[in-house]
Amino acid sequence: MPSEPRYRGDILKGNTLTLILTLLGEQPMYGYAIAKEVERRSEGALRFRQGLLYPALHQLEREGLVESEWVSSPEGPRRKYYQLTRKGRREAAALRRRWEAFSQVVNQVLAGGAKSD
Amino acid sequence: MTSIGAYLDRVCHRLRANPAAVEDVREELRAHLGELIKEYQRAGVSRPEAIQIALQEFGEAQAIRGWLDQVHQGDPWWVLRLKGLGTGMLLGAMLATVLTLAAPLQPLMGRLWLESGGELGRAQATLNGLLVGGVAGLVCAGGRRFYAAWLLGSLAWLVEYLVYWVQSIAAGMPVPDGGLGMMNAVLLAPVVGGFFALAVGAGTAALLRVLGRLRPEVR
Repeated sequence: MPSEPRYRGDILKGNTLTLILTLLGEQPMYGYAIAKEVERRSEGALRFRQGLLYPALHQLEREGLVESEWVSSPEGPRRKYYQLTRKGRREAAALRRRWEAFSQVVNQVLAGGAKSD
Repeated sequence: MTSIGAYLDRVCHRLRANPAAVEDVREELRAHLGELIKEYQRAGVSRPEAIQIALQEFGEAQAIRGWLDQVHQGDPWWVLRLKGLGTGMLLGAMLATVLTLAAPLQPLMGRLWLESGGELGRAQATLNGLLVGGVAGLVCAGGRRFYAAWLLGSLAWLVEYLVYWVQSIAAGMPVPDGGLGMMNAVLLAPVVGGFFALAVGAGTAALLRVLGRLRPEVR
């Protein structure tokens, strides 16, 4: 049974797309695998209502950032795999840069501000 | 205790997306839930309990439905059905008219028992095209329950006609209308039988809803 997550809901809302696009940038994945991978990498600290992944994935698909394909699975029902399109790769890179810049600024503030020369 | 089917029904209930997309969503979510349930079962939880935990973990059906609805933003279900009906009727009538007017097709039309000569023949062919095309369009725009109700009604109508036909032959009476009668029966089965079945299905769904046994509308 999974432990209680430390971050859930709102804090994830703005960053869900960044997480999804980053994971899909590494390899094609299906919904369950995406949810599990986020949990695994964050050691259970990040967890979202898994059903809410799908509106996000479908939105990304409508925007042409990901494309999907049904693939049969030997372990059970077929799975719908998502992978980044070229546009999606550009967007993933941009989101990542934005996140890194943002977290750097936040860290700067938490550390007491940028050193003036 | 919520079942997976009831949960998925709530997620997909009147989702404004085309029926194929709704079926796609249903299958995708069902597959995900299946994996979650297996995961909890592997951790030693009983299946009924695993289902409840998985559904809770998955999120509130209404919330997921709301987000999916916003993303897909298709037409309401009844507009989809109307579109299907209208498009099907138009295509059916056009096809029937072309078939009856095209001279090289006359021998083929005769073989298919479609009366094509004269104004009455053309009018009947166009009417059949309207009806069958409309039914086909409606079915194409419908969901799973809709197909099932339609199919059952159509089959019932066909069986009833066949029984009548066999009874007539067995009693030594003339076969009603011969091949043309059979052709008309086949064409009318989805219209008469299908509509009847839908009416019964919709009535039952409404009654069950009144009785508090949640069943979405026949789709």
